[in-house]
Amino acid sequence: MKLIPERNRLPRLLAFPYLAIAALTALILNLRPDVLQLVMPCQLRKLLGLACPTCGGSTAAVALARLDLLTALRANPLLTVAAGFLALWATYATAATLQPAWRRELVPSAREKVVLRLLGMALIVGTWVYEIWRLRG
Amino acid sequence: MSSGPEYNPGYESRPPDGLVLPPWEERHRFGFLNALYQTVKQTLLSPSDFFSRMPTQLGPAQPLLFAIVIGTISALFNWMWSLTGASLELFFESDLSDIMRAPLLAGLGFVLSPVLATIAVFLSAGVSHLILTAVGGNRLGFEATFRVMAYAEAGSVLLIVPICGNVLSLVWTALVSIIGLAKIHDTDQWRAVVAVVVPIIVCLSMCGGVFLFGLGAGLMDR
Repeated sequence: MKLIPERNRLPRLLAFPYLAIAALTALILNLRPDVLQLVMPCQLRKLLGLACPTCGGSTAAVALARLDLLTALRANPLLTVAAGFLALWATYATAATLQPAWRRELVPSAREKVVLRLLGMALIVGTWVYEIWRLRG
Repeated sequence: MSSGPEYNPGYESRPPDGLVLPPWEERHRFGFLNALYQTVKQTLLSPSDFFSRMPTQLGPAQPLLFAIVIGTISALFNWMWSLTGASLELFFESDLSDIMRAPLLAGLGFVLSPVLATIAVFLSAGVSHLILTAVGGNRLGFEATFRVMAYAEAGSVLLIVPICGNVLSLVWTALVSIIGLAKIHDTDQWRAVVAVVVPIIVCLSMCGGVFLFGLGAGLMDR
């Protein structure tokens, strides 16, 4: 994986709207956790008896909003890992925006791209299997 | 598959040769309302041509503005139909707080519609782009996906249709998104289908109850 000077500022700047959405969600969940009553139980699970990869997502979101990482990881690993990536991305974006000399781009090779894609798929499938196991019966 | 535009990092002020700016991004030439109408018409009726000619390195601001304007207009129609339903409900329901709950929520949705539309476009583009990348369909980067998801919001104008507007809007927006992603990234249709349909299924499984409840309540209102 090569680290080269930034060619396109969009990937860095995009961190800010996503950070804002996450911060707004965290604020709402901290102030009014009862909004989750609007979210009904997973319809896929209700219809087929099978959990989906996002089952436990609302519990994980509430736990993340309270910075309770262990509960979040137990409830939904996919969402917790995604939140971790968002935190890293936002930290880099903030630092690189304040300090232009730090602006860099990660350029993976073709093989590394395939590995990253497979890791992403493994995370989704792994979370799905875990959720089915966790919510069995 | 069409021959899509090449990836060229960095913003340009003009589209490369062979590519055409959407009317919305040439409002100085078309005028605001005409540009809005032409863009909605082209997106809904000829998405294949519209997205295969679209440049992708001009920044996300203009598509986002389009999505916000369309989101606000559709939220207004949603509120209007909700008020119509509530006024009909007055004939057989006496509890005013029950009757006014849906219009109040729809009114709040209208007031917050610019923020909600922005969040919706960023979330749908983000999730669809991740899935498209995972299935190997990403050729032109995030902005291309963002442009498709923002202009596909044109499907929300179908909320103008009473009773079945919600379903029509959801289906048409999904179809336009699928065609748009396949054309703009010059990728296979099945990859675009996965990138658009998986978030919808996930969203329906998470919020399906709310959606079905809202749809049912809307049908009963009218």
